[in-house]
Amino acid sequence: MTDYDLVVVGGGPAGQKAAVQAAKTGARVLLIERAKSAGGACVRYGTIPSKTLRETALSLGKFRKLTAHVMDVEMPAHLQVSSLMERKEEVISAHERYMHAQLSRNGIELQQGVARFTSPETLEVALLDGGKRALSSRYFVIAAGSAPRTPDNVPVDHEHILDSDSLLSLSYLPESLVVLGAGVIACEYASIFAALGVKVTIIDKGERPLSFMDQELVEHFLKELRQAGGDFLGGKTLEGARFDGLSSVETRLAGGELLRSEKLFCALGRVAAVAGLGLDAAGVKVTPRGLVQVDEHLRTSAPNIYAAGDVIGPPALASTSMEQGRRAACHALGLDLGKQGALAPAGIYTIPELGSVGLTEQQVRERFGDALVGRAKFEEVARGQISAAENGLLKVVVHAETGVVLGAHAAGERDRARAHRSNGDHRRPHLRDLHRHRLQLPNVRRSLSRRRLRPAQTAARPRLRQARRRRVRGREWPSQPMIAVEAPGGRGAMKAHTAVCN
Amino acid sequence: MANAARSIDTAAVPQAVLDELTWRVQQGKVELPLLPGVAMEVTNVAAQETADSRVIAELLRKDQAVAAHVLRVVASPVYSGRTQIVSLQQAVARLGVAKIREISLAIAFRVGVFKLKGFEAEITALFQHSVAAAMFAQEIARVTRRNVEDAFMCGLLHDVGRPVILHALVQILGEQKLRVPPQAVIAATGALHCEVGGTLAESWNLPEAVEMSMRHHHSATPPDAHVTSVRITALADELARYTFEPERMPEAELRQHPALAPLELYPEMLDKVLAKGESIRQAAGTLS
Repeated sequence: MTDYDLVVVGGGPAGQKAAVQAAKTGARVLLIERAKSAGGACVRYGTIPSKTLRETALSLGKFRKLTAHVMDVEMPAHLQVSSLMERKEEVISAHERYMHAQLSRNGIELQQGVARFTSPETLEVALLDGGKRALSSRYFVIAAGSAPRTPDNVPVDHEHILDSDSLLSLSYLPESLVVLGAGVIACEYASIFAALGVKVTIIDKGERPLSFMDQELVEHFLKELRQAGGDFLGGKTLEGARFDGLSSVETRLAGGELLRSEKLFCALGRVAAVAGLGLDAAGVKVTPRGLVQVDEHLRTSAPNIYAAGDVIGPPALASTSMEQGRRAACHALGLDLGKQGALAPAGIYTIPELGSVGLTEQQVRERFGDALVGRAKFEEVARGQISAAENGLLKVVVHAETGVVLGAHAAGERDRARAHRSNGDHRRPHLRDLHRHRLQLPNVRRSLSRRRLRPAQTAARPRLRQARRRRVRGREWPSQPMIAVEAPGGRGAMKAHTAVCN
Repeated sequence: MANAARSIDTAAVPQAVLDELTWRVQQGKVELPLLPGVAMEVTNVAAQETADSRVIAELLRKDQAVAAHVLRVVASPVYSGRTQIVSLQQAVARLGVAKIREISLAIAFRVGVFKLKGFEAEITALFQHSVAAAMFAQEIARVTRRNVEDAFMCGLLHDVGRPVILHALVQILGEQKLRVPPQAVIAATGALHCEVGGTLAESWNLPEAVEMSMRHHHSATPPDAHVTSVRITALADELARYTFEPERMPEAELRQHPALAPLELYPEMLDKVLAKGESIRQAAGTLS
């Protein structure tokens, strides 16, 4: 008899959902978390605090824009970060209270400590007071999260050179910030700090940031970043960085280029937080990149141990981690959740926000040779101008012959620019579906109205007829999940039903 | 109790002297002189325009008196504008080395040096303790991902009340021609330094986190405002004591410190901080 049915290591999004899912089946569940409450990096260093800061940056920017002709709104030259995140602690506390209530409502035991496997069925928890607790369980879910990757030539001291765990501990806004890396975390923070008036420079070895996103959206992001005073230096090789011992950080690039900034933010990826977990003792294998190796059921090389979230690698989004956590717990306890959809929408909280689902225009052209593209700019819509959200873009990528929508991408100032899956509706979306909505005015939802997408539709018509003929001849249509794209603007945001062929 | 000074009363010092001390603190008539060696160094380095700027920056970081004075000066509207400057690095970055050099030089000339016969060792120990506490606070902040600059400032300035009281008491006793055993004077500085430090921080317009740390680093139940800074300072204070006076702070007692749990500082993280002990002891020990 083991002490528990399921022990979850890590209280982030994946661990928390794994624990709740298991507890709902009546299992005896223990959640081990290093911090005093569940939430993980998402609550402490990631999503919650960064979005609180982002919200302030957005509100300030928008207020200035909307009142530009009425009053002169200036930000103090040396704003303190803490004053910009005044609600952070409040938001975090509320979130922690909610999570605590959820855990206790479901009868989940929470143990603060650091876990280390001693065998595939047992582990030891190191407690804050130096004590140890040994326990056993039938199943385990490793959801220990990830930590920032720090290359040897970037000595992160959390004072002058910071990573994503320490960046928001800054007590004042630096005058300048060099951002190493051009992934999601790098671009999100870069755009937030640029919007707050910090001179931001993103440096990366790639030619453009956010390489997995539609190129046009990335160009839109870069345009906005540069308008806010930021810059992106692509194709650069980093030689090293160091604090000059006085007041600035020197970033050395190949070719002798030297950049000086008040602070440096190292965002060169994250690594699975598996150090000290005792994976060898548990018989859990890791990949050459240090990620926990799992099968399609999220089961590790030890049959009773599962892993979910950042420890298993991309996409490492809170939303996918939650789903992985649930699936891991369900499989362990013999519950069938069905097949997981392969389609994952991406929402990037840059300023402007970027949302994407399905194939990019470049991918469609590579895969099918041609693409029909419908574009709508919010500057052409009255609602966008009224709400000072005119810098948005909505783009739909359609199969040139069949009219099936293969991807949808949006950039806009407010958080409704995200693309997400519309669960439960599995019919194939078609270009003509986009034109059936009757929309109120003014509303940026109109950006997907018939007129705006007419070029795509007109071009598609002859080829659509050909496609119908081919379908009659028995051509197979792939079964595809539905997605929805919400554009910035009114609350009942426009939904562009699209399907993705992947 | 970890800090013996807290349990010693001030009875050996005449009440009239303590009243005079309180009045002077309230009126802002107390001074925080520099260590003679530091004053000389500041004068030498700051007077040379060709001197390495890093040496000046380092001087600011290793002396509580210089740091407090610089922060006090740059906090004035003349320098800081609408927002308070909260760290030395920020001060150097915002005002430039030339301005900081000017300020440091002015401070060295204006505030003078400690001339407390019989208390030289005590004064040196106080300054060493403060710089060690600052460095430990910095390490605690690093491992727990809290603000390192704030932690350093709070650690460096947490005991500023002690040399100020010591200097003022010796002056008052001299003026009133009273003789009090040196141990009683030292005990009085220990008993009063939090309250006096807090008052000074307020009147000098030091950052709020520094003020709270100066005022509450010995409180069993610190108030919510800047509680993390206060806890880091309280632990750093004991780590510095453990480093210089291990007989007053045994390791076993240190590992039961009440700030460890709220700071979520696990034993292996404390080990990392303690591993810096020798280098911190050496760095702080160079002060004279």
